[in-house]
Amino acid sequence: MSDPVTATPAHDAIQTLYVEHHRWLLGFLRRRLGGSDHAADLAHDTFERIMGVDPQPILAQPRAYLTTVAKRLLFRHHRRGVIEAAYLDVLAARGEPCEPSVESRLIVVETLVELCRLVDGMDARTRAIFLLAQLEGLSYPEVAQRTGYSLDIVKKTMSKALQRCFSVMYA
Amino acid sequence: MTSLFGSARPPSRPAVVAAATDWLVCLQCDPTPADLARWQAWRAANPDHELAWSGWQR
Repeated sequence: MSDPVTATPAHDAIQTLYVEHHRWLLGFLRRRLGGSDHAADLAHDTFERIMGVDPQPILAQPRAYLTTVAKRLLFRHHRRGVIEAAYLDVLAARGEPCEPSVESRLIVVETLVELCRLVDGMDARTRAIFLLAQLEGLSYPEVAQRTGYSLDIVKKTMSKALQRCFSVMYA
Repeated sequence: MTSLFGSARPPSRPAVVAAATDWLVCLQCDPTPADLARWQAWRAANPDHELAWSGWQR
């Protein structure tokens, strides 16, 4: 039942959406995740995401809308899993006894996810320069030679990209 | 949750972070003795500069 103090038409619409489709969404996510315990978390995150939409859309096909939002979250969930596995592989490959705490692991993985998102959000030139310098280990003159951009452009581009990394690292 | 580097945060003033990052890029590209002298002078000029620079050293 709606709380008479806080109820709004948007609130009522979400409540209706939840009551009518939450069980269905949970089933959809369980099938996608192979019965994973994460299904309930992702269903919760889906509704939380929808609650943050302002203004609320008028839904002609609520399940299609829920599916779209849930699929985006599923993609992020899978991607995070891949990133976390890669991080653990790197730790294992070091051959040193290293067992990060749960919190450390969470922080590192979250940071890596954010950095991947940051790289995805770069324009093509910035991404090319950044990856050549940071992943392939080319010097800035080598990056300039490889890409055809001037050394000045390479340095300015790297400075801006690194500033954004800095803000992610200390967010 | 804390950041990757714990609760110790370098200053968030964008201008100082930008200057520290410019120095990082400069030092990664065959700095001259004059560049190194100017970099050391910049770090010594203000505690915030040193703090921002330390953010790149962790």
